[in-house]
Amino acid sequence: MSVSTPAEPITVLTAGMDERKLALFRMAFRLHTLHRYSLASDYPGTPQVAIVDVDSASGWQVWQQYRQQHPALPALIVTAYPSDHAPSLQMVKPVRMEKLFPLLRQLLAAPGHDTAVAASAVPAAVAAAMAPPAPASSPAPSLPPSLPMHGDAAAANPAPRSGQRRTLQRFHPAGTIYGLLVAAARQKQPQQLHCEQRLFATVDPVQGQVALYTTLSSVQQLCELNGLRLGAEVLAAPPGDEPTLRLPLPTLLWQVALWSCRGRLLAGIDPDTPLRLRQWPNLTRLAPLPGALRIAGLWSRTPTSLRVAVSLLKMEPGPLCNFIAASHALGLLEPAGKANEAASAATRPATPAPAPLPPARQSLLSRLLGRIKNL
Amino acid sequence: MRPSDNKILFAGPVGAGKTTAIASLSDIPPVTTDATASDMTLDRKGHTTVALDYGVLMLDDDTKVHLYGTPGQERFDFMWDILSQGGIGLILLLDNTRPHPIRDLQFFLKAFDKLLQDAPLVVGITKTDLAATPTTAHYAGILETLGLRPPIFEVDARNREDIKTLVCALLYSIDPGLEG
Ligand SMILES: Nc1nc2c(ncn2[C@@H]2O[C@H](COP(=O)(O)OP(=O)(O)OP(=O)(O)O)[C@@H](O)[C@H]2O)c(=O)[nH]1
Ligand SMILES: [Mg+2]
Repeated sequence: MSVSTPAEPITVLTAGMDERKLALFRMAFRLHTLHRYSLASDYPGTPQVAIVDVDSASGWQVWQQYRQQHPALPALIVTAYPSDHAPSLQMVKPVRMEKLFPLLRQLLAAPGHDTAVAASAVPAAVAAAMAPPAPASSPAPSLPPSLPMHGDAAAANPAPRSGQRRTLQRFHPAGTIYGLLVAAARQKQPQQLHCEQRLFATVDPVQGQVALYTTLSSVQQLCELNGLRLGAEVLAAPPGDEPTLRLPLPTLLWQVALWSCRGRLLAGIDPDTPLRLRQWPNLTRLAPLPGALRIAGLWSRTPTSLRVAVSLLKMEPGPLCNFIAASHALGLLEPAGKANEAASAATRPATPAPAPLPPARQSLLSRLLGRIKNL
Repeated sequence: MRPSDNKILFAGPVGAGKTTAIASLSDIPPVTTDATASDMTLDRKGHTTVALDYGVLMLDDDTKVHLYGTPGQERFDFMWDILSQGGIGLILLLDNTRPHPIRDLQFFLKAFDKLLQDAPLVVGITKTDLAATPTTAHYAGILETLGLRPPIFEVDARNREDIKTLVCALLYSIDPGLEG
């Protein structure tokens, strides 16, 4: 790397480490640009300091062997089980770079003698060394366990009632391709579907597969119509003809929902009933729906009504309505009412009272989001 | 490290695509602890990460988001709490071509159970082009019985858009109100 470093690398001897542990230190040294450290096994030079892991199968024997072979070389002991009588500076695992380098510097600055004779001094030295190093000491903000918008917060702060109440157009699935496919997807047995007296598709709801007997573009056209003459029956034997297209059932359901719903609110959904997403849709493999990630983020964590979601997400109702129809088709959306109490009892206890994200955290996450989107 | 440092951890079994995913996001060529097959005889794909991958996303001169990848197949006592401070979340990649991907899921949930009490999780299922099942719905059903509803997507680690979607889902599951 281009950062200028002292010319002389510091060679570090190791003992008691397998290839993975060595690899980790090798990487830590590569990432650390203030001083150059290198493993003695990579660049044979005269070691100035050593790191001894006493947690391998041979335990503290590793230390004794090491000391016999290198009576004067200062060494850092790394262990998950620190000892009060450790003969040298210890670092408690897990190894963190912020701890490692100050300790190595400390050893290099005051090298030469083990502390075995003054064992009681060790814990103090260790304690001092363990104290978070000054420049890195302020702990990174810890993650609030919950998202800032919770049902309660939302209820306390509902969408403005007046003025913003718009009349949402309704989408009635009866007599539509959407209604036909959603009903078939809820069956236990393979179905044969007809539209206007012609074979439209066969659906295997258990395997999650569809065979279409028409093209996708005519499906799209059919999605604009209602009052269609539709029929469904249990599939006795596969139809003689070859299907035009086979595809996963969720893929078709999602696409048909977007083609059919077109921003209208699915009949039977009350705009003031809190909704909850049982599972995230497989959004990387479904037809794109603007805002779907944000909507899923909200509804998977916090039961929220359509009206509240519109105001929380500052979104037009259209995409939210499309999301409702599409995730309902996949059986993923449910009203957060009674049916759901058993499920929420099982939810992890780690979603307690919400705290809004601290502004600094929020700004960081927003910037990260912007970076990712523009990659 | 500066206080504003932040971390995203990529975990998952051997070959799930962690190194590839980090490479597709990182501003620097990822620093890896890869070994070639000659070093690690058990490996079937030429390269494997012995301990850790590292990449970084620079948000500005002072703010970095560190990307760590860890196989974590066995308890690796060094870096296990790498996310203990400043963790944004965990991205778990599962390889659908492995013999028991559901067991892999259970293994990693257990391995990271402490972390998952407050860090958000996203699951990416890789290599679904080679093995279509288990489906994301199947994984989701298992997670649901544990009271977890994380985003679960099919992803190809070689496809940057897929990996971007995983990270965006992670961020929106922390705060759906974020504007990027
Ligand atoms: N066909 C296919 N290949 C993939 C997919 N995702 C990743 N790969 C390939 O899988 C291989 C393994 O990816 P890596 O990124 O090395 O996996 P890793 O998780 O870092 O593996 P280890 O370091 O061994 O733990 C690479 O050759 C990738 O290109 C996918 O969705 N489909
Ligand atoms: Mg790797």
